[in-house]
Amino acid sequence: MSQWTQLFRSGVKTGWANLAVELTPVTVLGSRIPRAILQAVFFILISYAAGGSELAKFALIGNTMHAAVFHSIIEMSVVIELEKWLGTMPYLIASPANWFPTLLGRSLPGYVEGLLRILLVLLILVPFFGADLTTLALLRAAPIFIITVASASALGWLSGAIMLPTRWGMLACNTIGYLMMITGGVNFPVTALPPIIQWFGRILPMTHGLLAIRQVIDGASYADVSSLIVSEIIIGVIYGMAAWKLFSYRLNVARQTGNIEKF
Amino acid sequence: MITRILGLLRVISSSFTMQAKERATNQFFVGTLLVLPIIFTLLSVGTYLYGGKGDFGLFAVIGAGMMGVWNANLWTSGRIVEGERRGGTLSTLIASPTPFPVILVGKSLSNAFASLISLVVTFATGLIAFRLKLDITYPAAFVISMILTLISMTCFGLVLGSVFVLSRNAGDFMEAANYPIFILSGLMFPLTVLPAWLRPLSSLLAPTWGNLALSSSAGLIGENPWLIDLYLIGLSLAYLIIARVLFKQVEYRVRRDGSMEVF
Repeated sequence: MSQWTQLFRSGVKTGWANLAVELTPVTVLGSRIPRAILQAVFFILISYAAGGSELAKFALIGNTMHAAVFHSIIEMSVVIELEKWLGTMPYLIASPANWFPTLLGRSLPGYVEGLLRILLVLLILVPFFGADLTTLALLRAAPIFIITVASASALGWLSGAIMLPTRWGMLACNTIGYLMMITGGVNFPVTALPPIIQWFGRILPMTHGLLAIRQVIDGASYADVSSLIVSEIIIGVIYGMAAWKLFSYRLNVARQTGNIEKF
Repeated sequence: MITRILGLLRVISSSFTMQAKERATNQFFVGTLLVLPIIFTLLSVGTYLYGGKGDFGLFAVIGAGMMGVWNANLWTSGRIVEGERRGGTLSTLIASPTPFPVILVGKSLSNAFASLISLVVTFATGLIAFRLKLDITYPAAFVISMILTLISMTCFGLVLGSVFVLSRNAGDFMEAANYPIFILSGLMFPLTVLPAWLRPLSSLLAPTWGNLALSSSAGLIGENPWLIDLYLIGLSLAYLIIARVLFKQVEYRVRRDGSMEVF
């Protein structure tokens, strides 16, 4: 167990080191923060034009969640794909150490950044688009935000594992992330979608979590939304297990066929 | 004089073709032209239909197409200089007797004309997914407005591309630069949604006038499309002058500092 902890810690350190290189004051202030805020503003303004302040408030909560989910999907996929791009996959395969805690640790900084995005979007946009949202209501929803980002992260890992032998990982992640805006009830309720798309939404992360968040913010108790939270957790666990199983398979195939560096 | 003009046209034609070949394997281009326009159309038209404003459908379709055009310009034209530098060919291009801006114009025009695909994709999505009535009131004005919009956006892309060469974080800035342009240009919502103090900024942007020109040609707003086209021509010339001045300064700076290959 102590070895797992050690590997996890070293993974966190590596993940943080990767992130720290990108997090210069210029990129944070000139790119990361504006991107998260302005993407949310854009979609909230569409909702405002379509349905007034009520729909704008709906979109504010949805886009707050989506800002973190979108980031997490891409970051988690990168955690897996980076091994390929940096040429470190052979070491991962050859090393006797278990790769799972290492990659789990490497995912943590991206996950935390996703959560920080939620905080950032809420802090800046609630005064403009959700004046009647109380701090207490948002704090009550905080644990569900945390669970939902974790669940979406599992989808990011799966996307990374699926796209590992290809060069189209980023495109796939972006497509999944944006598609979830439609299927997840970000700008308008899931019930407005055709049944088949609703079904897709329900087997993807975020949809149940977002429903639970909206209900808790509107005053529901945790008990009222427990089935939604449990569904979100189960979906996350299933995607996570599928991701790690597939990644493990990819490593085995790469070892057998000698195409580790080929992509 | 004629020989010189023919020579310049040959350079433009070659760089146009070269860029088309490079683009065919660029996943960002595939994403921004084929995937994102579909998603943005579904999202925006879906939001307007849910909000009870189905008559905004064509406006949203045009806006989504413009987003695709702009994305393609920003991600590809904005990155041309950066791509040449990363590929190690920037010094050769700048040292060659052919003016580098001429090569840039050929490459940017290539991207701009390919970006028309996104408009086709959004119209097809509106037609198939929502069965929208996509009647264009003044087809001739629509086509001319579209061409002028493409040229104007290309020129704007050249301005940004000249600046991006100064930073290795150009990709990050491009991501962040998308949404302010979408918002200020009112690509998917009426500009009246924005605060009045922001509107002067909107009037400086090619996508704003391109969107207005296309919307008025489609009969969605009561403006004269030909007058807006004249404004687009003026704006394109202004962008070209700015891009030229900026590029001269950037070129001087990288030559002076010896930083052409440094990023």
